Order: sequence, then C-alpha cells, then structure tokens
Amino acid sequence: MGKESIEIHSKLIKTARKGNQQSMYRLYKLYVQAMYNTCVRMVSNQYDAEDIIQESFVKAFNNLDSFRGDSSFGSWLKRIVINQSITFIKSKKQEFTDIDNLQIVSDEPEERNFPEINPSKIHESIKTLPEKARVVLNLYLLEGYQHKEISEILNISESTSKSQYLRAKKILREKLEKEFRYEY
Amino acid sequence: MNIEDYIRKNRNQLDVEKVDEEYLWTGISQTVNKKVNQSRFLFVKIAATIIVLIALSFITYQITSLRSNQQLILAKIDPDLAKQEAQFQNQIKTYYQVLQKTNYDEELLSTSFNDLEYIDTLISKYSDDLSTNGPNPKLLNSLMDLYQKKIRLLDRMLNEIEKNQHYENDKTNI
Repeated sequence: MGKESIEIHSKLIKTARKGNQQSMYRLYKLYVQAMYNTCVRMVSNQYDAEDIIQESFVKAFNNLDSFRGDSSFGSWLKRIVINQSITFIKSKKQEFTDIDNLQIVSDEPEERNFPEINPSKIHESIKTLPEKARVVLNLYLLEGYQHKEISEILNISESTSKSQYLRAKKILREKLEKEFRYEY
Repeated sequence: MNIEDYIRKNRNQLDVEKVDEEYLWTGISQTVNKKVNQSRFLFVKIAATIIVLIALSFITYQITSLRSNQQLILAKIDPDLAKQEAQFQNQIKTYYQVLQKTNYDEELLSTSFNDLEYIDTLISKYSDDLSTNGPNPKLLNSLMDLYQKKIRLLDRMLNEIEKNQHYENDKTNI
C-alpha cells in the first residue's frame, strides 16, 4: 500500500472513529469484496457469508478504538472476518478433532505440473471441500496462517491441521483436474 | 508448478464473487447508527446521573454539616446543653415516626402543623444566630424552650389522634 493510500486510510479511520458514516462507508467499499470472498470460501454459503460480513463490519466499526495501527486496517479487518467465520462454524457444533488418528498421507509429487485453470474454478472448488478440510486450507494456503496458529484457533492438534490440509489439497487437486479434463 | 504454488500465485484473482454492497451496507449502517445513538443516549444518562448524585451529595453535606456545626457550637458552649438538645431531637424524631403510623386525619386535629413549622423556623433562626454571634444565655434558653414546645405540641397531637380513634371505635360499636 502506498504512502498516500495509507494517509487516506488513516484519515478515514480517524473520522470513522468519531462516528462519521461517510468514512465508514468508504472503508466498507474498499474492503467488502475481498472480505466477502474470504468469508464465503470459509463458510461456503452465500447467505451465511453475508450475515458474517455484516456482523464483522459492525464489530469493526464499533471497535475502531482498539485498532492501534500495528498492522494494516485490511489485516485487522480480515482477522475479524476470519474469527467471526470460525465462531459461526464452531457454533454449528462441528468438531475439528475427529481425525486426530488419521494417518498423514504423503503429498502428491511436488514436481507434478498443475494445469492452468480459471481462478474462479478454484474459488468454486474450494467452497465444495468438506468443512474441516476447507477451513484449514483457507487459513493455511490463502490467509497465510501457520499450522501452529491454526491448531490454536481451531483447538486441534498441529498434526490434525496438517492432515486436514493434505486431505483438502488432495480433494481439491482431483476436483480441479477433473474440471480441466472436462474443459479440454 | 504444483497446486499450492499455482493457487498462491493466483491468490489475488480468486476473489471472483460479487456481493450486493448496498444491500449489506443498509444493515450495517442501521446497526452502527443505532449503537452510536445508544452510546450517545447512554452518555447523556450517565451525565444526568452524575449531576443528580453530585446535587444529592451537596445537599446531604449541607444538612449534615449544619447539624454537626450546631452540635459543635452547643458542645463548645455547654456540653450538658448539647446532650439535652440531642435527647430532644431524638424524642421529636420518635414522635414523628409514631405520628406517621397513625393514619391521622389532619382536618380533625385542633393542633396545626403550621405551629410545628413555625417552631422549626425559629429553631433554625436561633441556631444561625448562635453560630454567627457566639454564646448567648438568653438565646440558648429560648432554643431549649422551642424544643420542649415542639415536643409538647407533638404529644398533644398524638393524644388527640388517640382520642379520635377511640371515638370512631365507640361509634362503630354502637
């Protein structure tokens, strides 16, 4: 993010803190699409994602005073969105610990070339992954969390996080390859 | 390139879904607005409560300091008088408590509450004079007289109330 854009952000955040709706709206417009896409890949349902996004922005605007600027506003907001998404998934009574005994299968050969696929196909395929695997893949591969952090957030062991990730990657690869064969 | 690298490389292009921004914003702005208004209202409520508390504390302080000052003055002048005054005040307080429990009808009483109020005004005036001008034996005697008068008046009131109640009972028995 450029210096100019950081300054604009700071001004918007400052005025939004005072309750200025126009500034809140501008911040919202800047981030809503990215946040929504992250969220919908996590929860895989449009309506749930919309609810979560609304709650996340409300939470962010009501707690702007706690944003100290240690990270970018986008990162701070995304953390809220991810936390809200995880809370939502957990509220559905989904346990993440049930595959602790799953043997970690070795990954597919790394050198294997992956075909060029339309990103929208990847996005859609991620949404169809099994829930636990999907959440771990999103956090690890797309949001840059480490397995240790994921294990803490989801209250699972690190090995479970890794197992779920390998499982997610395997299913995703199969889906996308099938998609690719179908396309060409 | 493996699948991980491929996805990481295309990470920014994965955000393909478009959300109805205006629809979502309507809900967000309404909730945020409501909370802003609620917090403003809460602020006004807190401010009002603080003002009321300060006012009450001030009044309580004034009353307490007035009483303690008066007792302090009497204690300095004559500790026995101060003790007597405290006894009178306690007796008056007890009479008032009894009076409140009787469900009296003010219309039927020949003793007027105005007399009591007048005595209170004089007590307050004499106390102020003592505070301002220092000990004065005549004033002190008058003050003690006033307390006694007040006690007598209250006593008479209670007697009257008792008589009236007996009369009512007799009437009912007939």
